[in-house]
Amino acid sequence: MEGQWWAEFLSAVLRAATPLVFCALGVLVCERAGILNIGVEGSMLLGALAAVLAAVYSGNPWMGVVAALGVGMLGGMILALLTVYLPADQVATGIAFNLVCLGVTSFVYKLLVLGGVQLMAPALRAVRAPGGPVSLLDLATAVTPLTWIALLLVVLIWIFLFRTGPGLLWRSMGESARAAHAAGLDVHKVRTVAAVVGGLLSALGGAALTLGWVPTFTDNMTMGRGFIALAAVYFGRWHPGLALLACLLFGAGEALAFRAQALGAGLNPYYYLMLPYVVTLVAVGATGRAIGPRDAGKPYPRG
Amino acid sequence: MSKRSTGRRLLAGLLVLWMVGMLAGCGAAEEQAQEPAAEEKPKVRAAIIFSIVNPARAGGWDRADWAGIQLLREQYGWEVTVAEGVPYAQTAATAAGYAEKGYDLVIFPDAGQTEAFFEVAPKYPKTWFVMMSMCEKLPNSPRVAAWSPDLYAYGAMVGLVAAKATETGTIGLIGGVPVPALITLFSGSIEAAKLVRPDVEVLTYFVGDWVDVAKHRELAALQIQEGADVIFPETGPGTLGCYEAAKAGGAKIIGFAWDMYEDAPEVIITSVIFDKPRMYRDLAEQFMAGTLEKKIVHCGPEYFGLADFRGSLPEDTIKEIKDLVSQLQKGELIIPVVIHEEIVGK
Amino acid sequence: MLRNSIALKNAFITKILRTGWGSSATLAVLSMIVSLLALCLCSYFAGASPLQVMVALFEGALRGRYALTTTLSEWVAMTLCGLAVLIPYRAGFFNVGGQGQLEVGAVAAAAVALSLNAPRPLVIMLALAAAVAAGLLAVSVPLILRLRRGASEVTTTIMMNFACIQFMYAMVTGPLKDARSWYGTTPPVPQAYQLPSFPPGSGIPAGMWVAALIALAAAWLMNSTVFGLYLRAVGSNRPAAVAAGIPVNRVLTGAVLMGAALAGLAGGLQLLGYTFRVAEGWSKSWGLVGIPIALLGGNPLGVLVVGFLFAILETGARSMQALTGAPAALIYLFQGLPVIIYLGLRASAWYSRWSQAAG
Repeated sequence: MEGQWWAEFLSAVLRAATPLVFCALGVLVCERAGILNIGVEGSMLLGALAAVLAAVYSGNPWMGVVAALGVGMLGGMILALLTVYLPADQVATGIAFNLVCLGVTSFVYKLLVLGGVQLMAPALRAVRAPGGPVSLLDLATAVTPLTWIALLLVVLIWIFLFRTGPGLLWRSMGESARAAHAAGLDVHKVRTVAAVVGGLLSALGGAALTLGWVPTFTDNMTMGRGFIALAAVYFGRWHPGLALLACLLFGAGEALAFRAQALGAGLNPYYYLMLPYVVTLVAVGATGRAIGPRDAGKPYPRG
Repeated sequence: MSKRSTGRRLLAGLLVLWMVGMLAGCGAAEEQAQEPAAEEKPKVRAAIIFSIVNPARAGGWDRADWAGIQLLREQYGWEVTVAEGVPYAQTAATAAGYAEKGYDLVIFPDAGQTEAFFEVAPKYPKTWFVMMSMCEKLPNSPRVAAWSPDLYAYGAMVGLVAAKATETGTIGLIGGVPVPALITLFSGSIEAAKLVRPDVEVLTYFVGDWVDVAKHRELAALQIQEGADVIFPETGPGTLGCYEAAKAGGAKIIGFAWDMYEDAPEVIITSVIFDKPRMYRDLAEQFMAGTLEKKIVHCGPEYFGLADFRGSLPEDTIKEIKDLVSQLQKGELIIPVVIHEEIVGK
Repeated sequence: MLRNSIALKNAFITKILRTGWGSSATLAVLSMIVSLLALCLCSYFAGASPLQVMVALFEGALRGRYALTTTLSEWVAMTLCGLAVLIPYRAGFFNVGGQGQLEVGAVAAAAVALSLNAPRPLVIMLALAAAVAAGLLAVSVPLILRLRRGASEVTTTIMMNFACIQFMYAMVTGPLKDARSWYGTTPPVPQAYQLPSFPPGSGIPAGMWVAALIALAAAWLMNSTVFGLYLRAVGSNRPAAVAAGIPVNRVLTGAVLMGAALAGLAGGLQLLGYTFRVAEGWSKSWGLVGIPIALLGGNPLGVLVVGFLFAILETGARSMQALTGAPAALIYLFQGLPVIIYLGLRASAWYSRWSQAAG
């Protein structure tokens, strides 16, 4: 029984962490190029809704993933227009973007719900091995494909950023846009790509939140998870591997909070939910200067 | 005229508009809205307050209320205003707002709104306040009424079905917000289940809200992990999370208050239906006839029923369940009334 | 009744206008009008008549004493939260944590008002002081991290926000929970300690006067004092301010603490004057909405005006949904869209050409 409890708990942690990992990668990739991706909540909501609707109408959950990618790119392009081309203050536009997405997704979903849309989409379900001994293979099949994609992306992005030439240029964009420009890089083009990729990954996080967990949409279902991803990136020092660890930690906190409530054990579950933020603040305070890519958030003027 | 002064004029215009708005508001505040008595109005104006959004497609209880509202609108021509997504902390203020606007009735469909019911009704004795859920006493106002279902008997029905349907001997109950009505309901389930199958194990978890689908899923998954193969979710939109857990974990679901089959055909064996529209019909008839009085109308097992099993269980099991249920409805089956307060500890 | 104060405000505002707000105010107004039009468009898709929607919105917020009281109460929080974002922003600190500061402010005020048994003015003063202190405490962590560690306050205030909100939930489901209640809520604040309306019996919340006075004080502070001058210097060109010998860190700290104090105060005022209890779901997202209000308002008086419009929409939204079927969620659209339009236009080349031409 003990082993099975751990397997269930671990799969719950992965379920909770997967959306966070996608969003954290989105934020990380953007900030490494010099863009603050505060609009991650909004992109996540857009992706969540698109994924559910596409899966419902097509009957295939993977169509939902594709739709989330499409919508994420669209959101990313809008953010790119605002933060790269104009450029406007990245934080303010990000927050405004989140509000607009909240309104739009709730509005669209309400209209469809009243129109009779099916509430539950086909999900990306894990292949469960009923009972029996718990092995690593069981764990592997106990999580959705999206989790494996997320882990793969962590590795790929790490390789890209830290082991390739273009990755180095990408990172330089975040450290000093002026230097990168002097070296011949088109700062605006690369940052636009960054914003689009960021939107894409955040929307994928939204798809993981719905199709990979409970395949339906509710108003404001992200509940601040985008900002937890932001915290994870901060905690992980803008490094994909550490950010992944942070996401797992925060996912564990969420899973523990659910279980604590059910089992009546431990602290008031809200203390568990405070955990990610307090831990990050403590980490920032205790470990010295926490400066991210130096140029993150500063608009680079055109021309 | 330079562009700068145009800007200033525009802004001045907005400010003037704002001030006019304030004055208009103040002026309106001077008049007391004198609404004629309800019987003289051509159309009855009622308001209903939901704590969740999209009640037409939410949990079973909300859908039952929605069907009741449609009945009021279509068959009686009432003008029913629906407030959605109103947290319990804001319900009293919302209800007061409707009373202030001169509505004839304010309906509370949710036992969690009892506090607001008691807080608002005494302040507006001219407005009818009706609670369409479990209610033990009425507030201090001449125009209050309640249609209080016997949730213990309802829960007992659920317990009978669950205990007969389970193969592992463990059943799971998932509640949203631990309101007293829910405790009563679940207590009925526990006692009835024990009557049918003395060695049954009943797991009870409360999510803490009606809405969080992820949390509902995790708690239901936890129950399945502990051996439950039949789960009864008594909650709102969060029910969908329980369906997902059941699908992933190979468990079965009993639907709450409405025929929920369409939402998750693979896992729902039946639903214990609650004829709430009948309560609304009674309310409408009495109100229109002017016979609505300050009392609690007790709605017993004749308001409950079972939805079509659609072959989800073996024929003889279904027959046994139906026999037990009809015994309960006829009053032949006596289930001891024990309220299990301890389940809230979890 | 209000005519005298309106005449006063009119004169004051004309004076400000003459000092040259220029076209950014026009742009803000334009953004809001365009967003209202967008709202109408969405309502049309929801099957509602746009004109009806506007009427329902404004009538629902302004018509009748109860609606007006509600709108004014919302306005209190929105003005204070707008200032809570605006004042630090002028110094170069983006205070995204207003909502958290408001929540802990309310919790502190509740703790005081529920545990003391003393004369009314004393309890109210102490409760509001506790609210301010809680807000200051909440912002101290991001502030220190920014000053000592150079950590961007955007992320830290967001994190502090959520930490504070979860703390509020923990308090209302734990130590401060009303034993008779089955959901997380504090007992209601005793009648004796609730804020009255002022003038008595009129329904105008006392908090509104407080908020209006604070806004006027902030306007005076920012335009007519040395501190205001320092503030503008530190925010627009920090190195130059350092070179000029301005105590930048002290100015920044002062501005940030002022902002957080106002957010905490907003929480206390809402508790004592409007909701009377802190609970799961007791508040709206005043702190978050303070950001669009601050950006569109641009200065304390602008915050007053924009805050009023936002308060109208917040109150009228339910009316709008009830009477026309247009979903209340559209209000979020109105809260975010004007900022995007405003910032977008302001940053665009078209605008810089236009404002140069305007002179």
